[in-house]
Amino acid sequence: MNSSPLLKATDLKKSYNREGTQLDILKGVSVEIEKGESVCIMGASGAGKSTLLQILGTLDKADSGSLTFEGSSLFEKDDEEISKFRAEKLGFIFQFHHLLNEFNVLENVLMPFWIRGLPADEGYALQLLEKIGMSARIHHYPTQLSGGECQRVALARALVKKPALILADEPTGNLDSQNGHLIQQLLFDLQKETQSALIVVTHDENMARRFSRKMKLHDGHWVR
Amino acid sequence: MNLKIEWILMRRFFWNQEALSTRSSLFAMLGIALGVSVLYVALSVMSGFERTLKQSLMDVRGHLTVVKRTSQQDSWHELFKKVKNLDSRVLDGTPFLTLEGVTAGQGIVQGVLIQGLDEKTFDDVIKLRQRLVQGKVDISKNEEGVSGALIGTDLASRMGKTIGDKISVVVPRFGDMDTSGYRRSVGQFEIRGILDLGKFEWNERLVVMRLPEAQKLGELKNRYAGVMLTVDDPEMAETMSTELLTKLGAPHWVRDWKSEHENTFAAVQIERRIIFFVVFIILIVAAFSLASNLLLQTLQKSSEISVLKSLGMRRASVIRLFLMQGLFLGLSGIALGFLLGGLFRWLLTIYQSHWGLIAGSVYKVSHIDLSVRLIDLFWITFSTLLISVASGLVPAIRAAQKLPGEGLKYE
Repeated sequence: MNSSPLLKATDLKKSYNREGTQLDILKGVSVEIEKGESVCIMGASGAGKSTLLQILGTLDKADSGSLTFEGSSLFEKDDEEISKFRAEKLGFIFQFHHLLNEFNVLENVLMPFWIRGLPADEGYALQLLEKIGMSARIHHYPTQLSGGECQRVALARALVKKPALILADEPTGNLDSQNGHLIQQLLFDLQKETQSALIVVTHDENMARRFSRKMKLHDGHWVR
Repeated sequence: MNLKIEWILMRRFFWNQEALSTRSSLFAMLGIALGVSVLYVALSVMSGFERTLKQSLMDVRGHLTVVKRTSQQDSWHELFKKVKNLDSRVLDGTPFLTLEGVTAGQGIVQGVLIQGLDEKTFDDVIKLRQRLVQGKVDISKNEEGVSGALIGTDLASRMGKTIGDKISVVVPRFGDMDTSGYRRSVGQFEIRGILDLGKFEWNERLVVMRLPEAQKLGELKNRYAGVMLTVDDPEMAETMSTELLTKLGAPHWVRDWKSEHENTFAAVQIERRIIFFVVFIILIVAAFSLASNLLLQTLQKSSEISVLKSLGMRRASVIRLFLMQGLFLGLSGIALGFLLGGLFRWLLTIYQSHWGLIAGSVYKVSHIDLSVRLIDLFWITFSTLLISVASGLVPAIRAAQKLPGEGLKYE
């Protein structure tokens, strides 16, 4: 039986050199995420939340430390393996929706399949779009949608491949409270449905209450 | 390799009406097209010059000339038979005689080059019919006993002669008693055909007549200068001439169509290469524009590329996307360049027919049949595609190596 956590980060360190000054963003951060778990990362601006999330999602590299997914080291994987990992295991939601303006709603949601040259599960994509209330707008382009609608589509795109881990960086940060609440609701509903683990960076205390675990980052360290 | 996603992304990202990159890409492609068209025209002129001269030499002199320098001359039939037996690649032969002479009229005295041909066989070897501008290729003697002559276009216009006019040719001979003095040998001929012989010197000087008439003018009885030959592959004539010379031995002398202008042909080869590289610089400049355009596109699409990577897009796929864009722009530039080149070539042909393109006295040929060789088209296409793809390489690698987080950070 495999007892290793879904994601395990150990002693992650990251610093940036800005105009000759070294800025230590992460000063030895460790975290373990179990399957299906929902974790919220909070902290002040500049505390290193987004940097940590990007390193956990292999979108950025740590200067040192280790990162394993189901016991397998992610820092040792080559580009092909890491791309496959992102495609199969991860779902990202960003503060800004980052939909591709040149593709319509349905095409954006199917993009994770197309990128890997896999047969697209259009049925599930349409099912998801119906759940998020976008089924009538599948042929619309992001520029024809509101910010809230775009974020809902981004949510469907992140979940269409039923990832083992969803990483969301302030997913409601750019939305009004009504849309923010809607996105929260959809995110938790769909996470429950897909049994994915969820890591969300947020400033929203109300949202943070809904997570099974809440962690706070301050000056590159976890604080209680 | 499945290029479907790269193709879809290329079309949607770089070739949609709203994209700024579409317009800047069009300008980059236009730069490539202009470079290709200039290269196409320049090489067409060079190849055309070579082809015109080559065709002219073969049409008027055949592929090979065999001369036996001896006072004891065999009949030309025997010489031809001997040569044909030595090399089966020899097809046909005709005897010829060349003399220097003079013609005068309208207050002009013009030196001429008399070429006496065997009227029964010359058509098998030299292609004067293809050079005919006016009249007919007829050098026979008519009922009144007047022989026909064919003259070059420039000689006709210089002397104000046309079809049916008479032309008198004088060949100076050494005096019988005193070799320091000359006497005249004169012949009068009816101009039956006016030829554009391609080569400037021939157009201005050549007078073609029956071999017996030339022999009479030169007082050479039944002597001839040599035999002109055609061979199955004119490009092999140079090798064949060396082989035949070895086999025939002294006092024979063999020349191929190229040897008379060996230096010119060698110079054309060198100039073609130099022109290719000089004009290719235009394409390199265009490639820089293409590279900067692609670099701009990598910056414009930085966040989109990062999002695609976060969804699982491989680095190799990102590289392919930008290389395909470079390749597509290159291919479009080549296609448009060939179209533009064809248009320029056509305009140049029209210009040449009205105002002349080159000075015949300087460049040996009076006009150029602009033509492009397949090998030139291949090199233009290959080199342009190479620099188009190479210009996409730096932006492509740059976009691929960027971590996805970097492209998403500053939104």
